[in-house]
Amino acid sequence: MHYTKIDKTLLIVNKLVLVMIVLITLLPLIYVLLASFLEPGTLLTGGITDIKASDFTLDGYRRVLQDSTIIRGFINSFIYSTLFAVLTVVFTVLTAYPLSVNGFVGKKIVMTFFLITMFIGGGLIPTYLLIKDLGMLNTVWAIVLPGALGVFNIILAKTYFQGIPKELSEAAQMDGASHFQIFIKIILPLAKPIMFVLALFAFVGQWNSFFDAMIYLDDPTMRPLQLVLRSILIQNEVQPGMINDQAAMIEMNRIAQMIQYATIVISSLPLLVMYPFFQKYFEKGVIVGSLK
Amino acid sequence: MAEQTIAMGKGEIGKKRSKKLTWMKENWILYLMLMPGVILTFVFRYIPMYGVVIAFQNFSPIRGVFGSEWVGFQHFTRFLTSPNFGMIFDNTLRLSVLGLIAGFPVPIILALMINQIRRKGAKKNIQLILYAPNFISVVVVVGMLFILLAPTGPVNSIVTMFTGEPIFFMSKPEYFRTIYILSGIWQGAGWSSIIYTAALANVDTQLYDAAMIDGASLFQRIRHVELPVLKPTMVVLFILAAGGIMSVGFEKAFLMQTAMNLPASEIIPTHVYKVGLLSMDFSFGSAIGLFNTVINLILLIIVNTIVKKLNEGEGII
Amino acid sequence: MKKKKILSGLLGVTLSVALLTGCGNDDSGSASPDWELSEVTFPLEEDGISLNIMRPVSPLAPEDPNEMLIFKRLEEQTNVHINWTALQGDAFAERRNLAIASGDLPDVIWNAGFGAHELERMGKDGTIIPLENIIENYMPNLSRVLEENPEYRSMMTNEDGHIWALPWIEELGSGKEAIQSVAGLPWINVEWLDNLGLEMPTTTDELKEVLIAFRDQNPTGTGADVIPMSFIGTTGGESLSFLAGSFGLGDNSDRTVVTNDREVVFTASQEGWKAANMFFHELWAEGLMDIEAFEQDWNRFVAKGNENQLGLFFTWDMYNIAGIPESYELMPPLAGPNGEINVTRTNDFGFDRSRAIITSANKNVELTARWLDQMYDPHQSVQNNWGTFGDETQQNIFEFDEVDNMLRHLPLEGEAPVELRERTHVGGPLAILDSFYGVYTTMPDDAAWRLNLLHEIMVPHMTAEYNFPPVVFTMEELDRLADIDANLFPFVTRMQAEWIVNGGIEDGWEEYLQELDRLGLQDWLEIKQSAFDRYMELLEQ
Repeated sequence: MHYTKIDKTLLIVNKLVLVMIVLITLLPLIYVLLASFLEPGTLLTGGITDIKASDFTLDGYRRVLQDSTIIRGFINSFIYSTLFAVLTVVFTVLTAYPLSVNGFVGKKIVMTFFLITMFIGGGLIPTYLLIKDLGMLNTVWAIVLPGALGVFNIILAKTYFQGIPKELSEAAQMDGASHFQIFIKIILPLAKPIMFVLALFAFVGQWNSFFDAMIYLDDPTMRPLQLVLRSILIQNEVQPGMINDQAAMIEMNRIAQMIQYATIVISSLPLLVMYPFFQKYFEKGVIVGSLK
Repeated sequence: MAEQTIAMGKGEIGKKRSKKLTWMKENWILYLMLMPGVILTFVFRYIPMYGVVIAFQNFSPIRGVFGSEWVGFQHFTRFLTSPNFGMIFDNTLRLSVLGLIAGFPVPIILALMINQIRRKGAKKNIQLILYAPNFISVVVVVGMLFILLAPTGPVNSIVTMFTGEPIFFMSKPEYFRTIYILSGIWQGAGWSSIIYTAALANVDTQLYDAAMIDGASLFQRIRHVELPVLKPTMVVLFILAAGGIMSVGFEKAFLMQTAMNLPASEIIPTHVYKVGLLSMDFSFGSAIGLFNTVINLILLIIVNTIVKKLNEGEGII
Repeated sequence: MKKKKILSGLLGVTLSVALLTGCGNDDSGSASPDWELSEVTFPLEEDGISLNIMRPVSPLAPEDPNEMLIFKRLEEQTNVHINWTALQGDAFAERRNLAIASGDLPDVIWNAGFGAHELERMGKDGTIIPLENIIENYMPNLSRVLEENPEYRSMMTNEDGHIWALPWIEELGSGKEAIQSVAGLPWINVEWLDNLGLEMPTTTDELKEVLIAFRDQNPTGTGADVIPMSFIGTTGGESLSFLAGSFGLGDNSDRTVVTNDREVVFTASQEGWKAANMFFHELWAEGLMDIEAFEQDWNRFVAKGNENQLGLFFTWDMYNIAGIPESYELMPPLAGPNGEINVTRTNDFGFDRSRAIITSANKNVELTARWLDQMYDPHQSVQNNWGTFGDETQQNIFEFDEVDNMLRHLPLEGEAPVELRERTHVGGPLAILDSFYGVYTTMPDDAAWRLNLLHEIMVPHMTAEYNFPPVVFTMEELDRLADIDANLFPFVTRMQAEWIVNGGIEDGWEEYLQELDRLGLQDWLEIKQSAFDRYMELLEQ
């Protein structure tokens, strides 16, 4: 590959700008990491330059990690997130593929069917009652099933499928392959990037969520990580029904401050660590192989 | 439809219909593939839909949906005749629209920029760092904003070097939107660029090679090879974003509000929250939600139509 | 054909599900069976009697409250077993409502946290039962409390004469002497005053001079950064509203005061308030105020206090802020330009209207009521609120003095007070009256200290005979107030902040008053006045 002079300059500029962006992004992240190891007031009073060795503390982490339910929370979250990712991908591609087929009869009706759900929803109470009546309360399914098929994802996947060159499926059709065979043997392998994206977003979304778990899960051993972390955080916040004691409030607040940052680091770490392993799905040239 | 009927006559309609049925029979497996999704959606989205009527009632949990008192549009009226409704609605819309316009191109540009990096290692690391802010909770982000932009904070240290006077970023309504949107981009753009990066993986390397042989410059390459691949995704994401305009989040604006920036920072969700604090009203909240939804729908249709016109008839609906 | 069958099948499922779910509720929820007890005395002779109580989870407390010593003792005393249903998390309100919506009404909801509006609505719906007769017939402890302190009855009874929930009452002092009567007290750095050879200011002009001296004359002696006066905003416990009292009726967080003619007044439309803000602007313009005052949060404020940068600050208890508490003293109220001194009272009470409600699914009303009445026994109330004695497994908050029949506070050795309290107290409905101190219990030290300070320095200057107690509004009034408050208060706060920083209150005043009216001030005043009048009427019966 040869580049023109302009190109070379542009590439350099590109690199520089990216470096700047990375730095701007990095600074606050470092701040958070740093803050998780420091006494609550330190950064507020002195700023970064005034930090003394004595300001460092593992108290924040200690408080969070000494809770034995954390490990269980981790495991639960992992299970829920993986399950949710799988369900999401399966439902989404199964639904998106037919909609991406040219000439699919009823496409508009089906699309509208899904689109409507984007705008009209019953709300918490009817959904809760439904889940209760289906016997799903206090089960994993209550939190991974209802949201597995999102309209956003359907449209995304459908668009992606439509972007796959028609020649491939047409060639296969001429060879006598059924839709399903085409789907499995041709489309899916090429759809790895989008499937990965769906899985990733789903995993992360589920990992960070807590509301559904809070509402539908009674059993404390089933709580996902976020919920455990929140309850630790809340332990140190004033609740209704407590004493109007300012000293108490202040002590609690101090601990809450300390925990806040540790909490973020702990809950983000697994994701950031996992990501590089799945990076390869973003490689270019996935299609080339099949054409050749 | 009517004209077609007259023109075609019964026989032809029959043919069309049977053509369709034939197609459906032949491709029955496609319909089978749809079933799981349809059932799932039906059960978990359509069945609970009766709850929408809560917005028109004075809902009481013990009476349930079918037993609660019916009040028609009372909640809507109450909301729409609130003294500052105009300002609040305007704030919400502006925040959202500006956020969309400013924020939309960034993930695309980022994806393109990253895509030009040759070394896999660097690419990976850059991506990782850019994705990370997405995981920081809103509370912490806003906390950082206050610290960074405080009158005696780091940003103002630089400002005072030039102008001698600190800028009260968090107290001035004029700055609210900019700070809100920029910090939102900082937090979300990297993550959103994942979708575009995935789409870029779809690029046929043969096209690249062809472009090289033709002596195309970088810009031309981007314009003719990479952007077209991204276009369908861009279109879809844009329309969907337009359809989510009224659904601005509550938390961030609420945390960023100070006594003095309210003329810009009071948006529908924060206002409803404050009203709801005293009256704790399910139905009222539900009504506002419905109101937002309707506006979203209208906007979606409008944007979809415009995009279709510009994009050779391709939209979401 | 196939399709039609599937469709109709689905339709059928839908309908049946919808019918099942949407249909309101039957009583098959989780209320206890009817034990058919009457003329109940404790301990019960019958065994195996239990009640179902729902409560929000106390994070630090044991998951099962029955493991707490207080409840263990109660069970022994009464022979009633409590089945606790704990609902977790910040979504307690949602979960509670969902539980109700799905028909699972317990016997009692404890620490319910219901707002006034919800109470009225649930009363109307028949979710909860009215308690006024029940209190009279089955709850002698609570009745006695209300007899001796009729103001609480007024705070609990609605227009129709109904009482929907059981209260929480914690008196530390009462009337003007109540510990809550002033929230953000002014603490002035007397060490700096000494260093600069200044006297404690007694008028607002003198305060200004002192602050200027703080600013200019290096009061720390080290040239360190100094903030003459710091606060957080214009409402709340760290605001500067205390100073407004020197100019007239003053100000508080509710912007509500009551004149001695029993007229309800909006503080932020008074001439005195205007004058106060003009004074504040003078201070700001002179660089005497913390420029971060309108943006900082508690943590930043505390950080400055810890660094000893503050000359004058406001808060409930200086020990929480001051790096060196010995440097500070409470500043007595200042005389304003017309020589008058006034300390404005807050409208805070140690009172919470809804700590327990009895649901309509309850089939053992007498038993429940009598059990709940146990909570209002003086010794029980004290423990429920703060913690207990005689626990062999952990540190105690109290020891029980058998001779005097009193609970005495124990010094907390090393234990974080908050955590201990959280683990051992149970909250819920209770009443602790001023008359208890010295009889049933000792007073916590920090409370005693603050009460004393108030008594000596603040109370003598409180000119208002009345304040605005937690009166009972009707549902319509509540709705209207909610709408008005959501617009009115932010507007006032914003304008005040702007005027303090930029000045100009004289020019903008007329327009401001008009805007207040547009936002509904007159309705607001009317509603508050009539609720107050109702309250006083009930009181005087």
